[in-house]
Amino acid sequence: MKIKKLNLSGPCVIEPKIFYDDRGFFFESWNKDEYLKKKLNIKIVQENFAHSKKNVLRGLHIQYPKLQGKLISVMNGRIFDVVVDVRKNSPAFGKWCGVILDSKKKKSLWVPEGFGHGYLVLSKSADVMYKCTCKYYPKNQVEIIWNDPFINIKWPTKKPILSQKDSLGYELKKMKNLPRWKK
Amino acid sequence: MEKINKILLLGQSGQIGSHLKKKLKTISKQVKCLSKKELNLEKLSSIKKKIDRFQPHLIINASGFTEVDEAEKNRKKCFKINVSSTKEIADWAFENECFLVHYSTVYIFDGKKKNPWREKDKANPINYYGKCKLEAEREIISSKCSYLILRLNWIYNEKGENFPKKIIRTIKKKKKIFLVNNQIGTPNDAEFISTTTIRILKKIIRKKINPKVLNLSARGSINYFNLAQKILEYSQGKLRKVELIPINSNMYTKINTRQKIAERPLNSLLNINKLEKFLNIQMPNWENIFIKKIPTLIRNYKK
Ligand SMILES: NC(=O)c1ccc[n+]([C@@H]2O[C@H](COP(=O)([O-])OP(=O)(O)OC[C@H]3O[C@@H](n4cnc5c(N)ncnc54)[C@H](OP(=O)(O)O)[C@@H]3O)[C@@H](O)[C@H]2O)c1
Repeated sequence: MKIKKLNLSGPCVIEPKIFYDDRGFFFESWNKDEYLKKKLNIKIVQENFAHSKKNVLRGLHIQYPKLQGKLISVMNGRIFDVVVDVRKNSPAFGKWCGVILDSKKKKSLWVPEGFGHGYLVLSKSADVMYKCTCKYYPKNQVEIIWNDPFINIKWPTKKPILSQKDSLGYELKKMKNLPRWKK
Repeated sequence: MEKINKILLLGQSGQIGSHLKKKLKTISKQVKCLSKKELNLEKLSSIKKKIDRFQPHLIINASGFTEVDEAEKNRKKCFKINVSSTKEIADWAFENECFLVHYSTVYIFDGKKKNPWREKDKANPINYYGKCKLEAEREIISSKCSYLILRLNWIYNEKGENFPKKIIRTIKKKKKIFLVNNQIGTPNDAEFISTTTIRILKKIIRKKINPKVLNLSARGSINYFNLAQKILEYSQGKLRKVELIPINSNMYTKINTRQKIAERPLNSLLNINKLEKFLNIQMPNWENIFIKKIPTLIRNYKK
């Protein structure tokens, strides 16, 4: 298992070791101790599965309060996965990073607590599975608008398919209730 | 929407509400209208209790603080009536599995787009009224209730205060009238809006599917200056000849020093593809409706 750092401090990409043979393949998709060894102390309490069509954009989402760290994996298809630092007073406030996740390389993206998350489906459809460090609180779901001019994410589409809720997301600079950055 | 027996209408005295009041009977025999006296939306803690008494299956919220310039001065009141009360209503709807129909506005957008606004365009209100209406939409969506938000643009009615009537009144008083020529929209008759609302509701009940947000408008586009010209044209001599002077919105704000004028979007057109597809009909052009209404609009100001 390899950990790849990103140009944002906190989030990272995890590349598993995959064992192929004539039957198919096998890999460890989650191993608490192995993650701990790489200084990723993640406590999983819930796992979700989402199936989406091509060009669907889900995001950007945070849960506040009751912050949620997320470990994102793609079971099928290919996505452009984005993580944004939305912690108040963070030196990287509003900075984003995008990675491609697909079912071939089976990398995962670690989205720490205090980071916003969203993804765009690049393949015909995609199945995304993600583990969470805090359970889901529907009333604490907050959307940040996908095309926020301040964050300025270079999405590979101009017209994604959005939920009504996501289309009414807030602009980051206008948000008062945000996670805090701790040194 | 499950079967609906009881309908609650809020805002029954308003431009749209007054028409809905008459037409809702075609959907259900049990229609309850609560006036401001019976339920003042500023009294937030009483909202759920009052709705509880009637136990509606469908709430139509046609109420609101709708004076856009006044909203800038009276922010607290605007927020209470347009946002906080909506949250109470939506929460009640969620808790009681009630369907909520709510009117919103094109003023949630900044107007800086060439084409008509689509349902999922990025919201970015430029005045306080618009900010509140956007917050209300968010409250409804977060409440997790079943809802339909209908977004409107320029509403006029034979009764009540609105733009065509303001023009008519000014024509009667002044010789020269300055009119903004760089803000476009679609003048929509309140009765047309309520008839179309009923059509949408009937379709939702029949089909058991419902869109969540729909733009609701007739076809066509005009600016305020040209609208005033039309009014004069259609008045057939019933209004005296006055000089109409086109100016842009910045100038208009400057010459109106007496009161604070809220900024308005330059483009208030709504894209109605989704609506026409859902109803499977073509919306009429606003002017065809306007022609029929103009005599009454003028007559109401004869005195
Ligand atoms: N007018 C437009 O051009 C326009 C454009 C886009 C969207 N909309 C939206 O469409 C909806 C209806 O608009 P409209 O033009 O029909 O509005 P309207 O004529 O101004 O009517 C508003 C209604 O709300 C009621 N109301 C106001 N304050 C209240 C309170 N504190 N408690 C209870 N009821 C209260 C009024 O009652 P009283 O008569 O007793 O005060 C009236 O029945 C609103 O949500 C508005 O935001 C309007």
